[in-house]
Amino acid sequence: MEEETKTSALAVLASPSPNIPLEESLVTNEAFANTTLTNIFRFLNYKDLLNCSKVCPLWKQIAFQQTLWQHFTFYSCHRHVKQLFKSEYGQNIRNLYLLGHTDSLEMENVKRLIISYCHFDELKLISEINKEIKEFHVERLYLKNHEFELIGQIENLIHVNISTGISDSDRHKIVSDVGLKKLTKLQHLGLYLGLYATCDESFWENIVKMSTLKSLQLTASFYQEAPDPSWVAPLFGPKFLISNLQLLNKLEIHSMTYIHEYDVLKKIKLLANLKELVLDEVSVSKNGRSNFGSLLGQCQNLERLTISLTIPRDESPDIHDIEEILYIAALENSEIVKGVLSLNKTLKHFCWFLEYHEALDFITIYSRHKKDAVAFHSFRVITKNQVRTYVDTRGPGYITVPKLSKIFKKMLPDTQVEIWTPDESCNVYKHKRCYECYK
Amino acid sequence: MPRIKLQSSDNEIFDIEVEIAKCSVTIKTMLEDLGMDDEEEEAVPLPNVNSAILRKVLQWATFHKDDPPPPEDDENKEKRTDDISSWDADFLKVDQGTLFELILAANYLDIKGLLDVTCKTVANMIKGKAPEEIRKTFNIKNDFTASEEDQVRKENEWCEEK
Repeated sequence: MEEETKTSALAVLASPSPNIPLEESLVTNEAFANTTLTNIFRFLNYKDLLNCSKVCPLWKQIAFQQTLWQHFTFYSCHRHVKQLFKSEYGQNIRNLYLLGHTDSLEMENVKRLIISYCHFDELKLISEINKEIKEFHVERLYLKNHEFELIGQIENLIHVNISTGISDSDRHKIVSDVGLKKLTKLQHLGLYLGLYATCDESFWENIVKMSTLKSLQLTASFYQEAPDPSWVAPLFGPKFLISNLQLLNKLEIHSMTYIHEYDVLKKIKLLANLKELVLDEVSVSKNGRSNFGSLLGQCQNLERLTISLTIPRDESPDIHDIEEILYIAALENSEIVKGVLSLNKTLKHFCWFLEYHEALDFITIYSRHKKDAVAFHSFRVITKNQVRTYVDTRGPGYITVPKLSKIFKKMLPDTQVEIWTPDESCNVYKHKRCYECYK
Repeated sequence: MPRIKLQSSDNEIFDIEVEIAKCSVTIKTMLEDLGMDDEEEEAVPLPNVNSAILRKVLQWATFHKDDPPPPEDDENKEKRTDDISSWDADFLKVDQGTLFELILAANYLDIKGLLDVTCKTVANMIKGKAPEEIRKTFNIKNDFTASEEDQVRKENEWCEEK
């Protein structure tokens, strides 16, 4: 019976009269225009919506419905943001991305604020003025080491990438006894440990207690210095239960030397919800590789995996290391490849950066191996849709990127595989940028 | 295959497979709520949809009956409109009046796939167009008064593209 009531109500509400042409209905029949246009407008961006609002009064009324606007994120620099709020749709702004440095600004109605970068005191000021903001996302928060204890004051922090230890005066350890504990809503924590920062053990202790975390990204800068091989190791040590982070679905680790020695993968295996793992510029010694490969194969929940291995910095790169990493010889039988292949049930995306250590003298190696230098041709391989290969100048007897991609394609038929190699036309010291050349 | 009868607003009866009719969440819930079993003799009345439109809707539903359920909308992403399949694009080569009636029908019958694809088709007619061009597309008269229009222009000055 209820259905019938609903039916007849709708019939009265939004039926175009057969005798009235569409153009009439669209500007005079409010119910008809509302039902159709509200649905259509879902697919427009705010510029198009604004144009629609200028078509006629009825369209204006429909285009300015709150629900159509709440999902847009507006980008503005601090200089223009006041004008943005004064605009007709200013009160519809729920998500704001503030570019450049922040201002002591009142932001009525904003529920979610994304800040490209700021210092702690700026963030604190803005959160004090705007109590209504329920979600703070900070893409880069510069935090002095001692401010770690204060970060808990920004209770509504949802997503933050912290840069710390950036100035010379920041030489003492990061301790976060009270700070991180108070961030009970935090979903993403990125940590960029600068030159002058080191973490106290209590820092890691607090991280494993942040049970709301969905994503954790750990980066350290070791520019021109030997990396501290164990900087993130305590997190994976026996003391702390990283498996407490049951919601964690993405983990990124950068610049960790001898990753196989710290039980990283053994612990990762225990994270039931971990779907994405990024190991960037990590190193595994030659002896550790088989163990690393088999442990990788046990991380059976992984759907997305990105690996870039480098030669350990304090290992003198002998020619076999370089071959394995740079020239891809013998990769078919490499333990790491076997590990990846045994993830064939779950893996949906695998990306491999065949890297070399930036400290190596690229030119020397390059010229020494020039005759065989297939690795300097760029390849991007996507299974199913497209296979793009470039001229292969290697002689017989070597495993080449196309051959490697064939192996992956055969063994991981449902996985999108990308293999990235440095490009010969790019300057080695900018090799990170090189990858973008063929993105 | 169990079948069901649907009755359009102009009293035409459509005898179709239940599975196809259940594409419509409205019909599906109606069947479940009223406990209609699969071999119902009586026709389900659809007083909001005329036979011409219902025929189109059922044609669409028949073609798409084996589609996987559409993914949940990700509200934070801008919605794509360039992913209309070629069959759908051909199917929707109809006059604007029919297109809007299909939107109404899909909305009423709660067929997400059809609603999205019809709305995307109209959205593509709007995208990137200035207000005057939009009016032209749909043959709409500008019934803003001069002062209202001035007001609209003023309010939006800030984001007017120079």
